Amino acid sequence: MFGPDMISVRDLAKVFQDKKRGPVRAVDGVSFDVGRGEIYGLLGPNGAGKTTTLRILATVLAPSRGSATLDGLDIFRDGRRVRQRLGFLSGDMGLYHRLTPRELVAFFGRLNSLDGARLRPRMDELFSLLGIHEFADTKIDKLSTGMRQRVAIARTLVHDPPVLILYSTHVMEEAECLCDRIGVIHRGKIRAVGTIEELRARTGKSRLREIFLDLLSLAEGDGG
Amino acid sequence: MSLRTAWVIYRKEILDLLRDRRTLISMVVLPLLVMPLLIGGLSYFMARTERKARETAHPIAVRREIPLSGLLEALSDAGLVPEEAPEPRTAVSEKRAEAGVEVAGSEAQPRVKIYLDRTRTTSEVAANRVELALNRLKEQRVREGLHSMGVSSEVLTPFAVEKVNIATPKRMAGFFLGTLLGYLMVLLMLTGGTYPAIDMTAGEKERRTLEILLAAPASREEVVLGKMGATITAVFVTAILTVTSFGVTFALGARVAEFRAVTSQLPVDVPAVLLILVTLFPLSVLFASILLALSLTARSYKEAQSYLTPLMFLVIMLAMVSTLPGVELGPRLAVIPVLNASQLIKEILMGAASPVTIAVTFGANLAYATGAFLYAVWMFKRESVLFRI
Repeated sequence: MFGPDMISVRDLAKVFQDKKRGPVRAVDGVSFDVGRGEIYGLLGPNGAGKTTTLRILATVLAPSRGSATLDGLDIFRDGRRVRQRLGFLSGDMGLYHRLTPRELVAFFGRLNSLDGARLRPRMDELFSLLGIHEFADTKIDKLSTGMRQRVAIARTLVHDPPVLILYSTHVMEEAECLCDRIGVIHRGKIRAVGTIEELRARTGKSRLREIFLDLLSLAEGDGG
Repeated sequence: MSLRTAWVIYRKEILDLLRDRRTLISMVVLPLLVMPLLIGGLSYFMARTERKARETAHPIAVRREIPLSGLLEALSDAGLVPEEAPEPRTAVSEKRAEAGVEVAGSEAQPRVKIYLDRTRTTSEVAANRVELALNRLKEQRVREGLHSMGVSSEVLTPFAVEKVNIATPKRMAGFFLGTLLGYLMVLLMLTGGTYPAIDMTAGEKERRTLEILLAAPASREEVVLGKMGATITAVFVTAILTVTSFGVTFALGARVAEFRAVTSQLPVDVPAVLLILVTLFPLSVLFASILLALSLTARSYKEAQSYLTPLMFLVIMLAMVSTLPGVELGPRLAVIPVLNASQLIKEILMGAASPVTIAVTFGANLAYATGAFLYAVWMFKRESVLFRI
């Protein structure tokens, strides 16, 4: 159904040293694959290990164990090239509020080695697509939340990356509509993977929210 | 590492900083205003207080247990206003008089006490004038005594004594102004870099932009280099503006009567200013690196400010040493950071800096700056610092 794997994660683990709690296993042996063109949803409650997994994939954190490739590139050895193929959008948007959308998107374009000749038409295209032109030269702190979200999307797409990591805390119904496959992560481990249909068949529930809660309670029953 | 990417980050940081009001105040407004306000204000108030003290007819509380002829006349002649009072000491403490005079002892051997309150400049000045008047009276008595015995008053001065200040006016002015500039310069440089450093580190964490920046293709080294460059720029621009403001203040100040005594002696000496700026460059790198490394460990703006407070005190203490009298920059003192720069600025303005101390200061600060720079780079690579949980 989908092309060869764009993301391949094998036995990924991350242990943080916490002064009070000692070693904390944020991610504990996670493996999954995402094919070309596939939308994969990683769902989990707070503290499940989603952020840490995604940060490792974005090469922002180094894993304690395991391996991962992105578009065939090893994320540990080819950090820069991996990041060049990646668009990373977090729920906080991560915008510099004193800059204008034009300055911000240009900055990330330049970081991705886009020069003026390629950057200008690309920004023009994105600004038209997302309706940013009319506020392109207004400082971001003067923009509404909706406008900022569009700027954040333009920033993520400016270098036309083949892989997108969209990190958000949005409603589960969105994941149900959008995702080709869903992985449920809890306490650092993947508890279930499949299409919505497969997960429905496995749990006997129809809505993703119910499926999710059911899988979590099963995981709790397994002893976490 | 690509210098081009570091340059992209540097340019963005500078643009971001120039739009931050706090940075602009500490980097541009403060250095430009502190010098004229401080020097202008100080000169004005000092001149006014001194003139007032000189010209005012101070009330002096006088009590005489035994007569001392000519006392009241001597005080009046000195421009003071003697007033009889039962307790001169209380009169001074209750500020009814600026100084008190009490004559006790015996008629053959009178003893005069002068009361003053050293916490009040006017009291000190009044007491000095009382002392001068009394000495004049004493001398007059001695002359009269000698005269009645038929002895020439020349015996009072068997030889003359004269103190000659060999310091040139330029050196004097350099000493006074160099002390001020040396101290203020390092303080302003530190404050000039503080907000930019916090904004680029703890500020980025607080606004959740750091993660996005690190997920972009720039390497950690390029990120640090860009941010470091921007902080160094902020610190060094502060230094340049402080020196400029200092020069302009004195150039304009020379037209104001109260300033002239000092300012006219200190022509704005371009090589001296350039030498000061060259000396300050490694200090800028040192400050920028420490500020960045320390504020990176904080989770928020406020936390970073509290981390930097002890650093501020340390710098103030080191810089203050250079304001103490008798401090001279030998090769040993020249290896103490901050102190060496403050002291060297003073000595350069006095025209007394030796090439050896300039070289040692520059070299020592360059070594510290390199160490601090590497430390900051190392800090930027530590996950526990970047993503404190």
